Amino acid sequence: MLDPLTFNSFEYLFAFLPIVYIGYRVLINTRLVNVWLCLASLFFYASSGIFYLIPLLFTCIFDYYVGQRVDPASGFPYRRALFIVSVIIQLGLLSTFKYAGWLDGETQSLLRWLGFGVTLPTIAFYLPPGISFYTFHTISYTADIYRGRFKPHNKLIDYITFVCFFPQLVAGPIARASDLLPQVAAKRDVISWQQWEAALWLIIWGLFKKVCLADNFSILVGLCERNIKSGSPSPGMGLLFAYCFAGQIYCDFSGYTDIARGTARLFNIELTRNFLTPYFAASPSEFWQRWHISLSTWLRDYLYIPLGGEREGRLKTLRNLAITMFLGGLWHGAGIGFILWGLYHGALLVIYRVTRFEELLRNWLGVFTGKVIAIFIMFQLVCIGWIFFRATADEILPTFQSIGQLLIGTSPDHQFVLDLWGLTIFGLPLVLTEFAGYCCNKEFSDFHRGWHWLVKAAVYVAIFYALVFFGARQHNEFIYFQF
Amino acid sequence: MNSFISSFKPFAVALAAILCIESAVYAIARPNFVERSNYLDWNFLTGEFTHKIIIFEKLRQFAYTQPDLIQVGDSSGFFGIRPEIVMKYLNGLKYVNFSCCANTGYNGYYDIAKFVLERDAKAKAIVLYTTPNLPPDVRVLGGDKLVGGSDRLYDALLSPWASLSPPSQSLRPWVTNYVYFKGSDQNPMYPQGSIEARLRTTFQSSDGWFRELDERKTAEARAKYFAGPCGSADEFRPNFSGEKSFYTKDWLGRTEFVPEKVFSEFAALAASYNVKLIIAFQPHPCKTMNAQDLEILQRTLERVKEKYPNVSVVPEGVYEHWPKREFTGLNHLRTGYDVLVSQRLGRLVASALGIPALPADPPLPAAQTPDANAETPNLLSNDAFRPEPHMVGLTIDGPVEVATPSITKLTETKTTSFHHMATDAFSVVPRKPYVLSLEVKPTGSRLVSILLRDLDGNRQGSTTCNFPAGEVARADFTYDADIATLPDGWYRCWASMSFCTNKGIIDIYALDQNSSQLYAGDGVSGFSIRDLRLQQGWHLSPLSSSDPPYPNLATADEPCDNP
Repeated sequence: MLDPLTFNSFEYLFAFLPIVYIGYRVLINTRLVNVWLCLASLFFYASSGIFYLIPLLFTCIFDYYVGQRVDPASGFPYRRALFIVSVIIQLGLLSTFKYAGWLDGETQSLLRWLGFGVTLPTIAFYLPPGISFYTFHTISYTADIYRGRFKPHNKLIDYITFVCFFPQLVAGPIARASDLLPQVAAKRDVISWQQWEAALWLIIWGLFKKVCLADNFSILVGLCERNIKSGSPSPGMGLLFAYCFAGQIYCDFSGYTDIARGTARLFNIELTRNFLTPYFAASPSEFWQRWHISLSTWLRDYLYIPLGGEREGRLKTLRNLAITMFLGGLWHGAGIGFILWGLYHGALLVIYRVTRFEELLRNWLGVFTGKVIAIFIMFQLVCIGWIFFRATADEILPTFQSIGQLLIGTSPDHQFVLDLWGLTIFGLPLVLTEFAGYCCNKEFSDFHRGWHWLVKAAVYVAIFYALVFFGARQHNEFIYFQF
Repeated sequence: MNSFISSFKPFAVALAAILCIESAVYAIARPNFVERSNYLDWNFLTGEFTHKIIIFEKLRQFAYTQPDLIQVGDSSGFFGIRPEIVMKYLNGLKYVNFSCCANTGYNGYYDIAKFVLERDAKAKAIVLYTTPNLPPDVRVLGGDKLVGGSDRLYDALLSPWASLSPPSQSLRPWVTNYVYFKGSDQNPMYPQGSIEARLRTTFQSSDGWFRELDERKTAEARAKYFAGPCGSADEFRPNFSGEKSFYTKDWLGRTEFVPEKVFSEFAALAASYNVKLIIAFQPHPCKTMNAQDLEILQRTLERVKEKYPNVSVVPEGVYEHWPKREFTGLNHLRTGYDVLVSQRLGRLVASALGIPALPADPPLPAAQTPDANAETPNLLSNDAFRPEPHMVGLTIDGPVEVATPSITKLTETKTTSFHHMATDAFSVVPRKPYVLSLEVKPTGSRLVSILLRDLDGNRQGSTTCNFPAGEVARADFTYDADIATLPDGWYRCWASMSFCTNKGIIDIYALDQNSSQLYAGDGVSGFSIRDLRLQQGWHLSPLSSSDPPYPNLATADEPCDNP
């Protein structure tokens, strides 16, 4: 039986990717090139479960034909109705897979709590990987056509390749049709050796972030979680839990994105940037301009602005912000934690906008100090948000209690010191590279282009030995696969 | 071309540097394939499962020693089969025990056998040694990945990617220890005195065998324990015809009997390396095996033998019963009976290989120290335990009159503390075994823990007498232990250990129901003791003359230079 192909597996790096690339090079000047990429993508996806292809292909084909009809130039009389129906169907499919089981469980609990002896039939679905991502891909396609911003594509194979393109299929970046589809449909040249080098570098850097940093942070998160669950958590352990998870989720997701972008570049396709030193944001709005950029811009363009954006007065703007972030939280998954996380970020956006907090700090402490303090505060606030995102319902209270213990001056214990040392070891490379990137307003991977070849060689050797000596041995899936 | 060179020069230089470093590491450290595999994790602050250490150490130490016979299988063989005894019957052939644990899975046993066969041009046979209690079924095929089962073994040692492991990976333990713990002794996989360190050292001299560490039961608890699996008919019944997990489908949808599939795969593996497969079954504590099940198993094995002439099955009748008191559970024989079961296997394997049978069992090095009995001198004097400063959280309600039947009642104080007493150091002969025995009567629901230790603290053995469960558990260097029920709520509990220095210490703790030493005393509970003795011997002779003595042959204690 085939194991799911993941970017950090030998099977992907040394078998699947080379084979797909060789096939691509052989077919690059033929019409079959996208057929090959499409089949490779479907094989990649089916390695997680062949039945997952059913909703994926349904979504692709359905929206492809909807796209033909909702085009203003099509003259189809029920364009608007069809567009609404298509969005309802897509979101319905997403909700069925993602939320039905959860809602069923919660309803059963509620009925039991209310004293009703009714037992509802248990609903359970296997969640197709990346369904949230490809649903957003296809919705953006039909929405852009409906609004007349994009013309429907008339080659099904290109369209399926756009939706299913394996580097971005299961965890993004969420591609817009207007951005990716023309690249997929165009006749592509073979990339230059410089582009090759840049692509490989992105893959290597992404692997380092995933295997050496994210997976080790994951071990630390597990250690902190066990301590918190023990009933008498060490003072401050909740804070370490939040910091470690902040490191884990960022390195995991940005590592994935780097590998995805590097892989796509091998096929001469440029995927959108998804991160830009997000933990150096000084305000919630800046954070969302730096974190999961493809999602936040999607939510802005297809939710926040259609809701009215900033056009209908201050109160409605705040309402729209809160709704957008609530739905953004819900998009991540079924669970009260995601909803709380979304609402929390909505509240932060509202509070910062109402109080102009960042501006106050700058005026009060000066531009530089104010900025530094604002970044520090924002990072703490983001980390608190990660507690809602990651902790289970029964962990949230003890997590905050342990933070409270540290704040009132209770001395940390030996376990805290050990875990803090772990955070230091794995956090240091992250802080240094992110800080360098922040100073130049780019990602650390972007520096590669300007390095002397000897520096590049030294970095490659260093990463190789970091993987050998410090790469976590447990084979962890990428966190965002579950979304 | 220039563009190609300029773009790939860094990669080429990095590759050249890595090749140089790896060549140097290989030339200096000479790590074998196991050492440079990623089978063990070496992650930050996370230990390894002992099962993985066992497999890693066995493969690391023996996969390249060219054994003639390769034993794989579950823990019945790991704890049961002592190669040095088996080899006495094999006319100079080298026998290595690679068995580990049932949760390695049959596929895991297969992977281990394959890995060794690939490196062993001298191999003559694989011995698949298992208890009939754990026949192949779909639940035990793959084993548990977390404890290093089949998937993990395959990924790390047999997959095509495994060969990509660079020699420098063998340095990972040292590098991680230095970086994660600044070279201190916190993270080594083999901390001093740990089971992992002892496994590593013991394997070097035992060719893969290790003494079992199971709990002992009172006669009543043992009878209750075996009543479940053996039933009132005292019959082992795996239910081959009715239990679904013994069946699977092949890729064409045809039903397969899992034991036949598994034994055939082993036979095919052996055949592909031109070696014999000896399928050996450990004796079982249930008196008989259900006739229908036995017939199914025997027929299955006959079919495998017909298809693969390189297969032998021992014993011929497949099922053999040994008395329950010789087992610690369904799968493991008690320390001492490992000698007898190893002799049995030696005879069976020799016969399967066509080696002439010996006229008599070769003599075994008899234990030089007889079991302790009433006549054996008692080293504990009357004042071995004194109230202060050797007593914490306990009060004495009567005089301490050890070495006499007088009763001393100890009651815990109402404090959250240890409830503990200890002796002064007493004189012992190093490397000689000693049995500490005492009769105990718990007050309330307390358990009693005995700790024997060297004065320098390098060797210690702890033993917990769990009266409600009728069990005694031991850890660390405790060689053997036992518990028996006496009249009027009394128990006799004993533990044996050899000391490495000429001074020893005894600690006795009261434990709460959770086996915790540190707890809030209630001021009422505690325990009474009488007839406290410390005598030379590996065991305390059975109290009842009707009980057979413990087998006391060729005891294998761990050397004092174990870390």
